[in-house]
Amino acid sequence: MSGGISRRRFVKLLGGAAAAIGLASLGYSLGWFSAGERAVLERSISGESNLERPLVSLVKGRDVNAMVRRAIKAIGGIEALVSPGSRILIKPNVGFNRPEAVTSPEVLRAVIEVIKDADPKEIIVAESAVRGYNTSNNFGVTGIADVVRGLGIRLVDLDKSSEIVKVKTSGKLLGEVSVFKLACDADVIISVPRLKRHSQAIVTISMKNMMGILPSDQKGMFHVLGLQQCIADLNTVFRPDLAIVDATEVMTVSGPGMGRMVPGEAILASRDPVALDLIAAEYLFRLEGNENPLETALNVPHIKLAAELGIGINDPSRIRVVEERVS
Amino acid sequence: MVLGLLFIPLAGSFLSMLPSRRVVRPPGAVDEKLFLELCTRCGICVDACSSEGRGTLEPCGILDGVSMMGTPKVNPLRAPCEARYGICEGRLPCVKSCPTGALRWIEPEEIKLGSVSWSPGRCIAVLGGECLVCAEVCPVPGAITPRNGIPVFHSNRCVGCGRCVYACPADPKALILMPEGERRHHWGRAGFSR
Repeated sequence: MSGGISRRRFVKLLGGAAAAIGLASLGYSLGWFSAGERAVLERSISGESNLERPLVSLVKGRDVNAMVRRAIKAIGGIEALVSPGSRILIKPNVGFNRPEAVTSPEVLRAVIEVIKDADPKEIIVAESAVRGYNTSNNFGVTGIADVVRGLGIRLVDLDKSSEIVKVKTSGKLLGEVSVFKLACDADVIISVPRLKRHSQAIVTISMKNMMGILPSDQKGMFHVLGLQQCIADLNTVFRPDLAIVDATEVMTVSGPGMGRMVPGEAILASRDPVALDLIAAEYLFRLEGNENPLETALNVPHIKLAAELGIGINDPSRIRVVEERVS
Repeated sequence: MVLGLLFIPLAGSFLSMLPSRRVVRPPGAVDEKLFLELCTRCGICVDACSSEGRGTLEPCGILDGVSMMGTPKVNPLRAPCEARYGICEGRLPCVKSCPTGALRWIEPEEIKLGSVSWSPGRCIAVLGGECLVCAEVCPVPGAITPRNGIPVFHSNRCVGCGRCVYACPADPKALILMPEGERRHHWGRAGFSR
């Protein structure tokens, strides 16, 4: 054994290495090395979260641009919410690669133009698509990319961003939720969904739409834990400050990917996502020919659970609905 | 030393006797026997898939069988195949990059890579959870239809894209992509047919 290592020493080294690997894996499983990822943030909700008598506007017509302007004006105008210098995150629903299943580009254009008038510091349009769909591709084939980039606004495919943070919720099932950091950085979150039926959540409107700021694994976890409660829990921290619902063409009967498209010819807006989702769901069920649309909407579990958590109001007698028609 | 050298062909012949797994091939693959002859294991389709597609293709490993090693397979756990209803529809970078004709052009409506196999015992919906993610992400009309909150799979309609397998949040997954019902190119008197 000239210059080499003795058998005894080799065995010792091997034992040492095994012990080191064992300790390292134990440490890893206990989360010693992932301190950065485990940092838990807290997010406070801006604006008046406890509107006692929320306003919901329902504007009917054909001229999308005028309808969006009217709907936002009717609930107090954009200036009440967007102060110059604030950072705005617009969250459309671009979960699929089929135009009928996503927020229509015309509505998104109108919303961006209204917000631009309020002179914010930054506007970002961001989305993370349904698992199994490519967000960037969805942006392209649905025409969202052309509209957003045409207006000179930053369009972000969240799936390509690696920065994920954990945020504490005050919900019942979710202690903390992993989200893309970009969503945390925004001062104002504006949810711009299309009105659709949903196979699991019953309806997908402004609160369900917020699942698009979650990374893929977290989205899956919602289904494992209990989707309806998780949607409500997520909205305790990521409650849209303003929501504008595209009900120009409504997906009824089944969804969220494929369903029967019915002309709704309406735009709904509110600063209370619970009240808005209730009124929008009622509108959807009425289009479906449901005999008790309001009753059915009140029984949508995540709308009810969100109201229980104090995210908004689901008492129809306290919601003021402003119905208008733009010719 | 001599014994050691002898071991190599012995081990090789032993390994090649192990059964090959049936794997899901990329779109436009010729029938399996011919495929194994034509495919040179160059890996160009796998590269094309990762750069121009979503990266669902990967080379088969030794566990798929020695004769299969290096040939491409669809692994929906990496990403769904976008050849039908996706970013590769009408483009097929894997097929276009194949230098030997192991993969041949196939029209979008003829693509069927296989079908999914469902394990109810692992399914969140069956176990009482609020999940129909498979039906939600399925791009094929009528391939997965929910009945009383539980998905029903219609393998005759399934194109085998693997979106549902990829998105299934159950751990372990309640869905596996299988080559059952796959549509391949066959060599006949009039050349290749499907």
